[in-house]
Amino acid sequence: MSATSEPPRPAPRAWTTRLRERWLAELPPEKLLPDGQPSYVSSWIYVLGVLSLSSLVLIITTGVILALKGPAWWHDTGLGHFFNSMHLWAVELFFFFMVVHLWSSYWTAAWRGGRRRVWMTGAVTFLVAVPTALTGYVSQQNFDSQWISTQAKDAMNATGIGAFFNLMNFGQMYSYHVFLLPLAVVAIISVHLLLVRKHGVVPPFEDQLLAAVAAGSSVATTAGSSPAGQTEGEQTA
Amino acid sequence: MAAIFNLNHPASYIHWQFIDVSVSNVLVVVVMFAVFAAAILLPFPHGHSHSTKDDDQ
Repeated sequence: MSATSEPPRPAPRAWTTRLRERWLAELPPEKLLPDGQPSYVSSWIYVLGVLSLSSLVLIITTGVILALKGPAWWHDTGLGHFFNSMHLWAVELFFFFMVVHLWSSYWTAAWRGGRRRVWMTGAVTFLVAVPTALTGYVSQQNFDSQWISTQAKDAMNATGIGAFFNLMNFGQMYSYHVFLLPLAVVAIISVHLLLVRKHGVVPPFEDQLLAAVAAGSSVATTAGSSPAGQTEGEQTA
Repeated sequence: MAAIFNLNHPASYIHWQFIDVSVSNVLVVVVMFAVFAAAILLPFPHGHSHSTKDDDQ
């Protein structure tokens, strides 16, 4: 036996191992599913995001049923009318709550404390949700959708992007509406929620100030730090 | 059965310089402002007292 045997080489780590370790480092279970929230979250203004999410669940549920049953059902039966209306009003509520949620996030500067990506994913969700709704309006299969599609096609042509898609093509718009764009909305919102869990809910300005004073440092160096001791994302990542 | 709102007529619009918006849309925006203000001003109910992260400190 040789005295100069090589030290054992570490076993190559699988990509699944690396992914798991990175996931647990970024978002450990106690942050993904926390036991409680900071006391400042006890405000109606923080409920608007959950209301937006609840509306989205209703949109997807009624949308799946509409897609399964088809245009003849949603136009010609009482139950079809009911689910069609539920789908429409859930969309109205989704935009209503999402816009007020965006207002509150803007006026609380919700991008503080390394939360830039939280803000950006929320804003992009709104931008992607607009064409998702538009493709729904032009997929109704009635005179209303024909009118909207011709008007919208003129608008798209005026902006120069009308060559990329045809709002008067029902099959194309329906594919966008029931698959591509909802997939994008759900994917971006999923990232948004995971980022909220990772960074924590942005604290009010006065809490940030008090935390900075308590830490004996300037506000600038602890911008967005939570008095609840939540990890500050990019500052600790 | 009669509808609650009679929609069998053209929508009413508000015209002011370049602004051209339907009355129904204005009402929605007004309600949004009202909800925004109410969400800030109304007290949040504290139904049960589970410990928050603040309380743990």
